Amino acid sequence: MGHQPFETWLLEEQDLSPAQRQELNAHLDACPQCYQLKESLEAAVQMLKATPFISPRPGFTERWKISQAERRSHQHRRQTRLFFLSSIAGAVVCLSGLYAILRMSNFSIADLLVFLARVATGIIGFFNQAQVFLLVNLSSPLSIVFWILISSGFCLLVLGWIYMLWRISFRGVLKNEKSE
Amino acid sequence: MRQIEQQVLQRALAGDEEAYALVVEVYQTPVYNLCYRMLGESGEAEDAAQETFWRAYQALNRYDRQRPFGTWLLSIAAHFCIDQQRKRRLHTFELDEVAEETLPDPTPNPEKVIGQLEQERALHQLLAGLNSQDRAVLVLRYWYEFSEEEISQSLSLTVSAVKSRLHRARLLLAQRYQAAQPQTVVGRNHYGSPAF
Repeated sequence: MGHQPFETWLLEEQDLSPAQRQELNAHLDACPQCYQLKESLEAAVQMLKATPFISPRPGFTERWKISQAERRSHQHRRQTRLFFLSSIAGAVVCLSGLYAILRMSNFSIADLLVFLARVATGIIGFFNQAQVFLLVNLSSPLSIVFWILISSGFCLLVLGWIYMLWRISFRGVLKNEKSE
Repeated sequence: MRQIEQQVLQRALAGDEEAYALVVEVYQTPVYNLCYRMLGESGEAEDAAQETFWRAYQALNRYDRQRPFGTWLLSIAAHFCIDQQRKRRLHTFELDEVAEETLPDPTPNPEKVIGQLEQERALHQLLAGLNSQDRAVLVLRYWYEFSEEEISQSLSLTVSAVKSRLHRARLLLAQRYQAAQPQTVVGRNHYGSPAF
């Protein structure tokens, strides 16, 4: 005896037309296998539906809070490790690149030292010129205002830098992460 | 499934930790129940439920507010449990553990307790034969009364794939139920269900 489409009708939760339902009932009367399938399926589904929801042990939310703090701390440590490892890796790559360039070119270590000395001298020269510039301006009528503006700007930059360091170190970079 | 107040949810989405703790309080049972039905072991279910809430917390900024929050949460739980099950086979069911963890009614009624234990054991045996996705489909369909569309969204499947999995899971369920029952004489004219 063929079991299709009756088996499919039984196993799929589709609405049957009155004619299909009549046809299915007639088949179930004649086919013990399909009848057994229908009975078993109904009983199993009934069992699923009748089984109540299971709750976790009391104190789940408290355990969540503890777990959240631990996970955040772990995540923070991982971020910090990643940051330092990336920095070290970056420095190693840069130094390796520099070393490779020195090896491949005629640029010797001595040349490099001379170059660095020139750069340092240039920076010192720049600061000397800046100092002269500031001294000249200090003697002008606008000197106090000018000096206050420069100092305030510098202080703001330093404060911003400190705030960013604090934020990354203690609050993390995730949007929903907050300090303890 | 209980719904959380929109105001609390909004606060949680804005990063308020206390509000998110309320979310955990409200959804702990549905999430834990799904994990338990999927993994079959209370310790793993607890870990999976905790992991679900952590993943949801981290992904709050990606939550689509057009979607019910509970459905989204259960979707995360189902995906995590499916991954866990792929990593290992379902643990052996332990009757003692059910006695400790799953009895919702603390009334000291030995007959009732034994009945519940038997039912839980039978249920675990039925579900144990299904693969993880088929089990997730069945759990969401019959415990959470999800539609096929909701299941497809939750498990990232097409609706036709959900239908196919439901078909296969129901067949296996019936076969396993039948196999677990003592042999009985099959009668006729017993289709008393309104569906027939």
